[in-house]
Amino acid sequence: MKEYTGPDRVISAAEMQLELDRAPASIVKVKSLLPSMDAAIGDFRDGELVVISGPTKNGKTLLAQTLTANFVLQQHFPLWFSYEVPARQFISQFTELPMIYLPAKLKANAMNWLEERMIESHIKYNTRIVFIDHLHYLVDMARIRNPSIEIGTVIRRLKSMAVENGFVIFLLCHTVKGKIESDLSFEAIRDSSFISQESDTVIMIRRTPADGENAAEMRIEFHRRTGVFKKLVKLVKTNGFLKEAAKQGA
Amino acid sequence: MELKGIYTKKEQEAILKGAAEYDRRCELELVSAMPSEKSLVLDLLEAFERENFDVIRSLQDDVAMMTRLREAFPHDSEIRDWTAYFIRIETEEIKDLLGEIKNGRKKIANLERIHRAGQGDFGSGDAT
Repeated sequence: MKEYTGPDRVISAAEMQLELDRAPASIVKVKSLLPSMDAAIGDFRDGELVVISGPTKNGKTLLAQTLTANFVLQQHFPLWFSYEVPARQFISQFTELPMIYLPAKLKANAMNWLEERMIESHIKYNTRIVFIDHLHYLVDMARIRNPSIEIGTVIRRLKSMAVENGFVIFLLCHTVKGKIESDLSFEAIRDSSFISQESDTVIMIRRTPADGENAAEMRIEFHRRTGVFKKLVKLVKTNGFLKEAAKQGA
Repeated sequence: MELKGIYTKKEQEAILKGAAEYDRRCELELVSAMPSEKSLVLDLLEAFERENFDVIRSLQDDVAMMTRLREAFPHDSEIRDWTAYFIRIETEEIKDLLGEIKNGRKKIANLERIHRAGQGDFGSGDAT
């Protein structure tokens, strides 16, 4: 063992630092273009699994589409798995058709297929940002015996895909009905424990009709890399996308 | 044409009838093989669409290549600027081509509608 020189050999932190200095720090560094969010977390980077959650019809997909449009502005072109919204409707929701990619046909409950399409899209179009709308289409809820463990396996696999291939994966999840009314917390996510353990960031969103018809609030529940915790950002829907609401008194 | 010698009058008539039938069929085949004005315009529009699709695919390949270049040289500002410039140009071109395809499809639909309605003057520019 003293002579072992394999790629998994044990090295000192100093040697590791020199190795890391040689490699590019990150392949993807893309901003949300929502000022308060960017100020808090900086950017989204490859290897990250970002969970977006909130009650049904409260803006999860809209937030994901807003991020998509903003990434395209920065010339990062995402791959979309839109299980929740049919392709025609999904595409029509963009005021101007963005340069994004999506499978011609979708297959639910098929992780191997999902991974193959991600790799295909990366090889063909060099896509590194992936949106999956939403988690429960990846798990056959009717068949599994222990949803939490199965979902945990799926989340862990998505995280591995992100790390191994240099992807940023955005995963949309539902919340447990009734749990979101009082507090916009990640604990309201269905099967929350595994999802929050494996993900790098959890973003919760909900509409806030008291602030106006098109108002919503987004909370960055946590962000591992920066340590941001429960950062609230007020949003408003304008021209089909979400924008940060002007701060009162500004 | 007069056939003499080895054929009887009845055989001569049968041969001439057969030859006339052959000529008639050849002529029919020839007419059906010639493109109608409608199919000529449709063929042309469909060829434009195929060609535009091919160009879109090739532009998408170029965009992917540019993003790979950008990744390969993350600290080179010149490469970053040039790739950003080319990606902008190429994505704009993709949008234009997409617009052309959509217009072409509208023209094809119009042509087919006119044809179905039996107003088939396809050279008059009604479809534009």
